Amino acid sequence: MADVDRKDRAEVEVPLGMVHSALLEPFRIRLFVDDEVVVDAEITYDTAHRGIERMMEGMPVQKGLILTERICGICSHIHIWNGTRMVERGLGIEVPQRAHHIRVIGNEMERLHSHLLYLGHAFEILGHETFSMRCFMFREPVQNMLFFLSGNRVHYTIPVIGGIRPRCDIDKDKKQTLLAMLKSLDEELKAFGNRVINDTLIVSRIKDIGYLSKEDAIKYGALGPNMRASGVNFDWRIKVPEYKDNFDFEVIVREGGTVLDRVACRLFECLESIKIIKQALETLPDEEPINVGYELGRMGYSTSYNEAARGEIYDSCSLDDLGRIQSYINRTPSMSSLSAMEVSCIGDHLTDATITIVSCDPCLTCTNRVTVVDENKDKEYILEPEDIRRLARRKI
Amino acid sequence: MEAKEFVLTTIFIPVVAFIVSTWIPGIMRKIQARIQLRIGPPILTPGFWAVLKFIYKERIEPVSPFPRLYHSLPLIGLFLMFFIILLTTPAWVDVLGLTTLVAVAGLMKVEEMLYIFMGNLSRSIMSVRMPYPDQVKGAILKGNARRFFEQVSAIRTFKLISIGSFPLYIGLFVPAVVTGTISIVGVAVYQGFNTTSFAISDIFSLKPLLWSIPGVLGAISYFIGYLVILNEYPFSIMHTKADVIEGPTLEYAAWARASYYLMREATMFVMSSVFVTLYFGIPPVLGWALIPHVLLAMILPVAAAVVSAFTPVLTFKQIYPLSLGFTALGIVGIIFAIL
Repeated sequence: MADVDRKDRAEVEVPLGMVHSALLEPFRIRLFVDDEVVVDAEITYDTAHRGIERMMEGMPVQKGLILTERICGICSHIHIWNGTRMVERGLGIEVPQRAHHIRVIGNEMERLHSHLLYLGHAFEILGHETFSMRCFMFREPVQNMLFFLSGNRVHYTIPVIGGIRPRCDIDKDKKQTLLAMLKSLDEELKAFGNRVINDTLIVSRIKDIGYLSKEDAIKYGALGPNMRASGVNFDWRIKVPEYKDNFDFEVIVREGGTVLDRVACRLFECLESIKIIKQALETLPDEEPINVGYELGRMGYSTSYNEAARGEIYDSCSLDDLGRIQSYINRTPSMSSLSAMEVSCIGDHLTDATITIVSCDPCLTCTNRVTVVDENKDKEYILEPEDIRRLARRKI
Repeated sequence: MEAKEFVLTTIFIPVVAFIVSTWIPGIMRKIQARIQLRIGPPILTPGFWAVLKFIYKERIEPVSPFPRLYHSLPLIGLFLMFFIILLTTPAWVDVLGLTTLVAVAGLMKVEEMLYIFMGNLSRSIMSVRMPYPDQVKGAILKGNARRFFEQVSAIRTFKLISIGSFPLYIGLFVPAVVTGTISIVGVAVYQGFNTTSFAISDIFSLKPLLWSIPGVLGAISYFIGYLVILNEYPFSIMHTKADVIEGPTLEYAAWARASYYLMREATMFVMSSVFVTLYFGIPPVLGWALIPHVLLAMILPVAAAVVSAFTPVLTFKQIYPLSLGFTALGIVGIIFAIL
């Protein structure tokens, strides 16, 4: 039908969410379709806010940093690490190299389990239960490694200001066991990756869908593997000194910009993570893992960027004279990556649109922001960073 | 004697089909679980205990413009399936001339159509009825038609009926071309089946169509059609959880869901039973010969379980070429049969 006619026709809307089996978290998708081809999409979130940034105000910074870990159950380590790193940068606290290595190990293990969870979820949405379950089977040893490293499967709480917690230190036996576990995981993942990339039916489902061009990826702010799968060569790990000064690894960049590229990017990143963990274990310096000779006090705004499993993470805060948090900002990658998916799912089949949207690995617990509903004035608005700053400046 | 056999067949064959069919989902789930390195559920749980559980659940009124009709559709499907299996029995040969492949094909088409009706009669809360905040506040969406998941599913079912089930019907008619008859029992007789007396030992003297080139091609075609009519992976686009979740059957709860399970189980068995009759030459008859029939009828569900464990859900982008490809394969089978 000609485009002229299309304007006269009623648009057909297929609403998905807030509750839906393909969406593990609460967000809504409005898909406007022509037959079953998506012509426009609208994604809305901000329904599950917990107010962690606000809760942190007035807390001693050590306590507040523990709370940052609770932002997300999947990428908890990067939140506490980036927050700790931000305070250490702001107050000029020196951190032993051994602690840096162990923090990196924690982050890469987290990336491994996050990517494997993503792959499991992606295959589940594709309807391939066997591959989905394989991914969860691969994820299990990674969870065990995290348990072995930190004593917890979720919320590991590895970093503290000045280093790492002593329980997360790695002795000789721990190192050997972790290396053995990594070796078998590496082999299994390589075999699985080959199988996925060569599976005709899987590839036919994801190869030409969810296209996000390099220009759109930059324009809409896709981050992390979503951006790299569209050909943008950027990873905070090549800028963060803890990584760039110590480890040799490859930034996985693919030019395709499709769902296949986003899946493959994460699959190959898993192998790079294993490489980094191995290097970190093998070159672990022999020294105390924590520097306790520091003093907390007033700190102006300090910031820190790092590379979470889903992409760029940003933390910023200021402390008062007693080392209490005055205001805290945490920005996670899902917000802008999800926006990019609104564009990339256009032109997909209805069933493909959900996998496209999910292929950016959205994490709503990280993303949701405060929505204030003022009943008296009958209006609704979302708190922006500037509002939070303004609220944070009130007298405590 | 013939009247007695007719009555006994009419009573017992559906009963046997019903009992056997309750095992099939469990067997399929067990196979899939083993492939996925899981233990899987006990064999009777998905097909029998789940049905029993749903029967005893609190009765819930579906949100539907015609709730009674919506509830009765699975029962109609169940009845159709039992009717189809009866049409393949030698005892029913003389009944109204219905025991032909044309009648079976027609009833299968009705079975497929039921999903369109289900889709159009269901209005679950999962899509349109779950309002967005702006609508709650009174926003009016002008020029915007909102579609329920189930309606999307109904359209998909229509597409599947139009194109996806070609292989099934080609697979049904390959034996007719080979044997030169559209009588189902005639097809079995062509393969050596004796309508007057048939013992288990006679199985070894049969000459199944499956051992011929057109038979193999037709069987492959039939198997693909079997997956399509069951909406089994990779052809489960009608109720893929990536978007439409359960599709037309989303509103079935309690005893209505139990009846839907029974309909689906019966479809699994009866379609496979028709395959055994057409391609092995063993129709369902009363007596010990029913045992090999039932055992062979497990071939298709087992194969379906294996295929579905290794495939994703396909969209129409893949279904159309696949369906046409397997239809072409069936047509090659027909050409071989003619030659």
